[in-house]
Amino acid sequence: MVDSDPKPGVISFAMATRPEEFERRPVPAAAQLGFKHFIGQYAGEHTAGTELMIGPLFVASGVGAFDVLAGLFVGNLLAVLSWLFLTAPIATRSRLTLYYQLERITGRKLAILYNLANGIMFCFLAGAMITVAATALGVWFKFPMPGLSDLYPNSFGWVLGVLGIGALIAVVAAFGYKTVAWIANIAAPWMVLVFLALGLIGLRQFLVSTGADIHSVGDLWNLAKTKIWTGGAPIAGQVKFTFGHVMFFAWFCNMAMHIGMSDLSVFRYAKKSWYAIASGAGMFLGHFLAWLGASILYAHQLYLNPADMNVLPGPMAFRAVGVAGLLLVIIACWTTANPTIYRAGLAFQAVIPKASTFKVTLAAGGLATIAGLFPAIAMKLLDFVAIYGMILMPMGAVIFMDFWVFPKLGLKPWFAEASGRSFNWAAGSAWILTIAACVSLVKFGGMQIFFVSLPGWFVAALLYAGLSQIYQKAVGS
Amino acid sequence: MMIFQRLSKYAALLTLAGILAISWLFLKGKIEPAPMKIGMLILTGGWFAAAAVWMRGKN
Repeated sequence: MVDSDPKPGVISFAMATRPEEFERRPVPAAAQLGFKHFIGQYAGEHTAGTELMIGPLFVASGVGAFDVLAGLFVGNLLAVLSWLFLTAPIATRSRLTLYYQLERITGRKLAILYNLANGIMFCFLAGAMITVAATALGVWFKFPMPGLSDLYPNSFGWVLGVLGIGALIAVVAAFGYKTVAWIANIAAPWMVLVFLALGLIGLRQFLVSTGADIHSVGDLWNLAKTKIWTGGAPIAGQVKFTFGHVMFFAWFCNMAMHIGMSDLSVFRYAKKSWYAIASGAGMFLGHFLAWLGASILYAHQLYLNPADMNVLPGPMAFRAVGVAGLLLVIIACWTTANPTIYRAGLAFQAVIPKASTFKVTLAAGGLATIAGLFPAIAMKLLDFVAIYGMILMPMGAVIFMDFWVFPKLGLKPWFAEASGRSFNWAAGSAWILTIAACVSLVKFGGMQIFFVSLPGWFVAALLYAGLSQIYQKAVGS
Repeated sequence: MMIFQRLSKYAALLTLAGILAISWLFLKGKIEPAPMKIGMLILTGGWFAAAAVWMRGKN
C-alpha cells in the first residue's frame, strides 16, 4: 500500500493535518521533525477551552494551596516522564502509528473495537468543549446557563446555543479541517499568553477585593492559602481533592496519550526520543499555568459571592479580560474540538470503511453536539477524564509488554500479524478484564476513580503476558 | 515581500509582549479594568492579523 492511501485510524493532532502519510510503514528519516515542532504542537494542543473548567473544578473540590501547586508540579512532571520513557522510545524505534501497531498486535477486529471506544470518548470530550464554548455565547445572548450540579440542559436558549456551536464545529471539521488547523497554529501562542494574563488579572482582582498588599513571596503565599486555594470542604457534589488527587489527575488526564500510547503517532516523527520532553511545554503552560489562572478567577468569584458556585468559563473570562476573554473561550474550544471530532470521525470510519469521511465526521460532530447539550460531562470533567484514561490505558500496557517484554519471555510479539489472526484474544481479554478490575476496585474496593489506573496498568500488563502464554501455545498447537 | 513578512513577525511578537505588559501593569494597579480590556482586544486583533501574514510567509 502506498503512503497516499487514506487509511482510517487513531491519529494525533499533527497527523490530522496530513492523515495520508506513512500510515502503514515507518516514517523515513527525511520526514522526521525537529525539536521545535513538538514544543509548538504540545503547547497548542494542551491549552484548550476545557482548561477553563478544570482549574475552577479544583477550587470547587476544596483543594489547598500547597496541594494544588505541588500536586500539579509533580503530576505534570510524571506525565512528561511517561511520554519520555514509555511512549517516545517505542515511537522512535518502530515509527508506526498507534493504529497500525495495534493492528499487528491485536488483529484488525480488536483494533477496530478499540477505535470505536476511542471515537466515542473523543465525541464526549468534544462535547465538553462545545459546552464550554456555549457559555461564551451565553454572555452575548444572555440565555440561562447550567449550574455546577445540572445534568440536563436547563433552557431553550442553552439548547440553541449548543446546537449552533456544535453544528458549526461539525460542519467545519467535515469540510475545511485544514483551515482550522492553520488557525489553531496561529492562535496557540496568543492563547497561552491570555491564559497567563487571566491569572495575573485574577490576582489583581483578589488584591483589590481583599485589600491585601504584596511585598514579598511570603505575602503572596499567604494570600494563596488563605483566600485562593483555602483547602476547605468541597462544594456539595464534588470529591474533596488532596495532593494525591491533584497529582494523579495531572499525571493521568492525558493517560490515553502517554501511557495509553496514542502519541506513538506523534513521536514516530521525532528524530530522537528525548524530544518527548517537549510535552513539558503543554503540561507546564497549559496544565499548570492555565489551570492555576482559571482557578484564581473562580476562587475570586466565590470570594465575592460564595453562593455563586457556577463554573461558567465564558462569563468568568469575560469578567476578567472582556471580549478578548470570550474570544479565548470560543477559539480555544473550537480549535481543540475540531481535531477531536475529526479524529473521532476517522476512528468511526475504521468501523464502517465504506462510509465517506465527510459523513462520519458529521455524524461524530452530531454525537459530540448531543453530548454537549448535557452539562453533566463538562461539570464532571475531572471524573470523565479519569474514566477516559482508564478505558484506553490497558492497550498501552499491551503495546509496552509486546514491544519490550515479550521477546525476553520467549513470546511472539505482533502475534496477530504473525499468526494471521484478526482478533488476539489475549489482548482483548486483558483489556476487558482490566477495565472490569478497575471498576470493581472503585465499586467494591473503595478506591477513587482518580487512582485506579495505576494498579490497572500492572493488571493489564500481567494479564496480557499470562494470557498470551496460554493463547500463543494454544494457537501454535 | 520578505521585508513585509519580517515586519509582521516583529509586529506579532510585539503584540504578545503587549499582552504580557498590559497584564503586568494591571497587576501593579497602573491601569484600570476598562482600558485593560480594550487594550487586550486590540492586541488580540493585532496578533491574529500580524501572525497570519507571518505564518503565511513561513509556509
